Amino acid sequence: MEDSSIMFKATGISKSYGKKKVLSDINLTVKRGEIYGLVGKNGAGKTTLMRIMTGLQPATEGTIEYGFEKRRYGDVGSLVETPSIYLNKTARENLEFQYMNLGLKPDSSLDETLRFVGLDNTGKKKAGKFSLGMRQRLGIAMAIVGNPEMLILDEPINGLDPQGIINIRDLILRLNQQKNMTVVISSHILSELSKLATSFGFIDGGRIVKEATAYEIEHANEKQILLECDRAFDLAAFLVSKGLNAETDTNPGKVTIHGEVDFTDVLIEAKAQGFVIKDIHNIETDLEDYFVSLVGGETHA
Amino acid sequence: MPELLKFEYKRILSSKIIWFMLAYAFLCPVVAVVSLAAVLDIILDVDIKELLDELNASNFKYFTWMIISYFYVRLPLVLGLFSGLFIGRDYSDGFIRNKITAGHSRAQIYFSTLITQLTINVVMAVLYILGGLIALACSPFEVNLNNGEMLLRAFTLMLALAVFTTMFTAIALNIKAKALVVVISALFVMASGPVSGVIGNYAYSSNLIDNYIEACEEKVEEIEAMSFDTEYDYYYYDYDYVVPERKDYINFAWYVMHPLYLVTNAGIEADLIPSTSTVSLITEEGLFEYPAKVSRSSFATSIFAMFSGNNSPLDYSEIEDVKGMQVRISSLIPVYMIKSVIWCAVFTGAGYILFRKKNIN
Repeated sequence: MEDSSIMFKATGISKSYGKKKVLSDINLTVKRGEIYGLVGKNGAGKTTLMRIMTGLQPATEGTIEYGFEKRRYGDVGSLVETPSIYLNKTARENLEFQYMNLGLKPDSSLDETLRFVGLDNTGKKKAGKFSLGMRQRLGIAMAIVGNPEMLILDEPINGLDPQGIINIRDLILRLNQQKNMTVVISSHILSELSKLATSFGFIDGGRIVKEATAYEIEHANEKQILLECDRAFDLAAFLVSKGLNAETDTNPGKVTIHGEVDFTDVLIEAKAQGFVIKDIHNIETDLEDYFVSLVGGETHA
Repeated sequence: MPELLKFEYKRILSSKIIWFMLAYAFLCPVVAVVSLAAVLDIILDVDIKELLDELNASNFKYFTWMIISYFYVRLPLVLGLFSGLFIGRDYSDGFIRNKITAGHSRAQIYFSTLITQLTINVVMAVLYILGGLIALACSPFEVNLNNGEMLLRAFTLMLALAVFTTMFTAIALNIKAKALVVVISALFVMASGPVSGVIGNYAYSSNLIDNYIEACEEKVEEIEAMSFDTEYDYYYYDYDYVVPERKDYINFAWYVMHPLYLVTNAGIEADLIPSTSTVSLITEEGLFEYPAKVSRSSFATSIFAMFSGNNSPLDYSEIEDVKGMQVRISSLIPVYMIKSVIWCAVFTGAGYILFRKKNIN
C-alpha cells in the first residue's frame, strides 16, 4: 500500500447471499496502530464485513488491501463470533496447535501468552469445560499467537460478566499500547467501545454511513448548557442581551445556552437581577447519541 | 503447506480414535485367520494337517488372497466415519477459521487435509494386509503371494479405496454438519455393497451375449440332429431348451447398469475379491483355485435365467468356452487402476471447487 500509515483498506466491498445483498459498496480505512470500532445494529453487516476482512468469506465485489510490508502466516489474528478452539484440548494444547498452524515452534512465548490472558493455571482442564469468559480469553490468546500486526475482534465481550468485560478491555488496551497492534473491534456495548476505540465506523443496512475519530465524535455536537429557572423566557432574553446564544425552544421551560462560553460573570449579573437559577448541567454528546443521530432509534440515557 | 501437513499429522496422532482404527485394521484379518482355524478344528472337527496336505499351491494362493483382500470391504465405513468426525471437528469447533485467517489458501487447506486422510487410508490398508500375512504365517495355513502378483492386485484395491477417501474428504470439507457427513458416508458405504452386487450382474458385454446366443443355437441344432434312439435321448428328452433372445439380456436394465459397471468401480468386488464363504474350502465339490480369470457366466446360470425360461442348452464347461465369457484379471487391473485415478481426480476437483468459494461461518 502506498500510504504506509494505513493498515487496512476496503474499497467497494459488496456481499450478496443469492439475491439478498447484505453489504453495499463498503469503503473503510483503518490506520496503523489505532483501535477501530465498528458500530452498528444487529444485522447491519458488521460480522459479515469481518468475515470478509479475515478471508472467511469472499466478497462479491470490491477489494481489500493490507498494509503489511511482507505477508507472513499469522499477521492477522481474529476472533469472529465464537472462539475457534478445540474443545477437547487444553488451553496449552490449543495454543500449541495454533503455533503449528502458523509454522512456529512453541516456545516460552506460549507461557507468556497464557499469563497475558490469565489462563496459565488451567492445567489439564479441557476448553470444553471453560466458562464463557475463559473461552473468550483463550480465543484472544489464539488470535495473538505470533504477534499479529492486526487483530480483528467481533463482539469479544458478549456474554461476559462485568469483571470479564473489564479484563478483556484492559487486555485489548495493553495489546494496542504495549505491542502496537492495530485492532478492529465490534461490540453492541457502546459504552465499552467508547472507552477503547480511537476511530469508529458506523454501519447501517450494509453500508458505512460515517467514519469518525473519537475526538470528532466528542466534539461533533456543539456544547450545550441547560439552566433551570422559573422565569426561563425572561432569563433567555437577558442572556441574549449579554451576547450569549440562549433560547428556550430546544428544552421548553428551560434555558439552553449553545456553544462553549465562559458565562460566570453573566450569571452573577443575572442573580443580581433577581433570577433564581435552580440547576445547571452540561449536555454532552456520547457515542450512543452520535450513533442514534446517524442511524435512528432511541437513546436510553 | 508443510505447516498444515505437520499440523494435521500431529492432530491425527493425538487423537485416540486413530489408534483404535489402526488396531481394528490389523486385528481384523488376524481374527479371521484364528476364527477359520477354530471353525475347522473345533466346530467342523477337520484335521487341519490332512486338509493342508490336500491343498495345492493355487488353493494356498486363493486363501492368502481371500484373507488380505477383504480390507476393501471392511475399511470404507471406518474411513468414512473417521473423515466425518475428524474433519467435522474443524468445523464444529471453528478451528478451520484459524487456518484461513492465518493466511493459508483454500487449496493448501484442502490438499493438506486430503493428503493426511489418504495417508490414513494407505496405512490402514497396509496394516490390514500385514496383519493377514503375519496371521497366516503364524497359522497352519501358508502364505503364497504368487510371486508378488498378489501385491499388484492389492495395490489396485488400495487405489479403489482411495476413491472413497477422496469422496469422504470432499463431503466433509463442504458440509458443516458433522452428523450429516457421518450419516451420508455411512449410507453410501452400506448402499455401495448391494448396489455393486446388482451392477456386477450386468458386467457382460453385448458381444458376449451375441456369442452366447450363437453357441446356444449351434448346441440346440446339435441336440435336434441326434437320432432319437441314441444313448443321449433320455437325457435331453425331458428338457425344453429354448435359444435365448437378445432382448432377454440386452434390455433396459442392461442399458442402465452396464455403463455404470464400465464407468465406476462397482464391479471390483465381484471381479477381484473372493467369496466370503471360507468354509467352502472344504466342500466336497473341491477346493477353490486362485483365479486368473473372471467368468461372466452368471447371467446364463443365474436364477434370473431360469425365470426367463432360458435353461441353458450348454453345460457349464461349454458356457465357459464361449468367446469372451472369461476375462483375464490381468487385463482388468489396469482398467480399475485408471478408473480409480480418474474418480479420485473427479471427487478432488469437485470438492475443491466447492470449498474454494465456500462461505465459512
